Amino acid sequence: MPVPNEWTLEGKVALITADARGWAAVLAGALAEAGADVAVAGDSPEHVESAASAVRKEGRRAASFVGAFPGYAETDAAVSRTVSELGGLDILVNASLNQLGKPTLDTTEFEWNTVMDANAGSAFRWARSAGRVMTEQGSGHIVNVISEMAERGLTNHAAFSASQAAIQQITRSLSLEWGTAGVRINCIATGWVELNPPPLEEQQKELLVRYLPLRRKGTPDEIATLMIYLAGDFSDFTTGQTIFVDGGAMAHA
Amino acid sequence: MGVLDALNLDGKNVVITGGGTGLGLEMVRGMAEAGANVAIAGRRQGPIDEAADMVKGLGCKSMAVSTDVTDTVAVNALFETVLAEWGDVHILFNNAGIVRETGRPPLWEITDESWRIGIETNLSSAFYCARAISKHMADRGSGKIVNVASGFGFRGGRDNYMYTAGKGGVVNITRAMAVSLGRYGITCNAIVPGFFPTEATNATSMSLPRGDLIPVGRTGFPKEFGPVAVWLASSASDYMTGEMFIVDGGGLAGGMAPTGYGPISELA
Repeated sequence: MPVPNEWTLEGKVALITADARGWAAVLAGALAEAGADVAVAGDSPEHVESAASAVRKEGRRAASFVGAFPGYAETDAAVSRTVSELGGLDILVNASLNQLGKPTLDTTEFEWNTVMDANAGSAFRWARSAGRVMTEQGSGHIVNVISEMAERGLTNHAAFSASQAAIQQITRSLSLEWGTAGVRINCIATGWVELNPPPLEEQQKELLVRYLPLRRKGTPDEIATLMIYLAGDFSDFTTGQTIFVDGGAMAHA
Repeated sequence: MGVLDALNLDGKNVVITGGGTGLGLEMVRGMAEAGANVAIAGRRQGPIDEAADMVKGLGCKSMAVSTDVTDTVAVNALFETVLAEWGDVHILFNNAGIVRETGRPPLWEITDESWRIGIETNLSSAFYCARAISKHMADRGSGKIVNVASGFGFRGGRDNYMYTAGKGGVVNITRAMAVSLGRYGITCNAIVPGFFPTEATNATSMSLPRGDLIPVGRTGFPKEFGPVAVWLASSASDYMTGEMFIVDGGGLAGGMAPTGYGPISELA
């Protein structure tokens, strides 16, 4: 089919973070399909490699960085290597989350610190490292893939939802701080999205699924084109936003 | 098949209100470029005829139907006409709206007529159009309704009543339609544009935010509107419903503080 030419990422270089959910392979493949070369960073060799191979399958160049990224030194280094190996950095997709669902009375200090750092801390570090290159060159797009628990609370998710809201606020503030420097930053907030949701009849046995206006769970490819839009130049007037792809959950009272 | 194939609108039939000028015209262009047939409704025949010619020039079917969207008889006739010609309507864009009729009178000088026209055009028209075509979409088990709201649907505008109230209504009717129509396979979302200079906004005396109040430092380019319309009209957005897609240069993210405002302080 003729792909509308606004959707091309031809000539752009993206960096995406991968976690154990397996979404990064779908999202990295989509970035490559739209024309980008893609670097993948994450601590799971298996998931980093599957995302990188999804990129190569689209005929694009891939780079892989396996490891932990606990500080600016590590994220700065991954950004530098992306620039040197793939020739630049135009797009950052933070697609890595660390989920925690636990009664608050049982949540340890270590767990709180870990979930906040793995989500909010990590999103901040990656944005800061990429932002140094992007503000310098006067252009760049950052997409944070988060959970809609940024906006809604959930039992047993006090720490996790706080970590998601923090990313939303980082996004809003950076959209202002880097707006005139040409950097755009937005969130895609997902609802009940899974890599391989069970068949519909199986899903709808769950009260939660029947409660969703669309009465089903979503899949990562259903956020892929939105990510491409937010990663490309035609979204240059969209910044600081969180766009929910959640089967209508947020429209409920 | 790649994910971008989902953006293809080949063979889809779209009805858009207010499609002859401004942002409506950009949405028409975007959808025709993605392969959709576009029926364009508007008050003035000239602009909608020109828009229809543009669609045909891109190789898609088009019709221009002169319609007063505040007149339910005319709205019903619009959809009857499109269904008679094309058999199906897959996508509805409720884009018609009026920023302001004339001037910016204080509250106590707004006439019944001017309130009524403002609310009818900005809010009721979306209801009338959705009502006219949603049964058809429900019977087929699929449909996309896209409303056009505004940043003024989320905050007040000075001496600005019919537009802010109407657009605030659009925001919430979008959610109501999403929650109600999801079970029939119909999604309903809204695009929330910030300030894009167009013929309609330029013709008014409203004090609209200029570049120095918008975080990205500029107003929007109309061409930045087509891609988002295509995405919302296409199956690529099938898991999104009841949502507001805000394209406003960061305006709503930062409130209305001047661009670059940010006091510096050290930890105590």
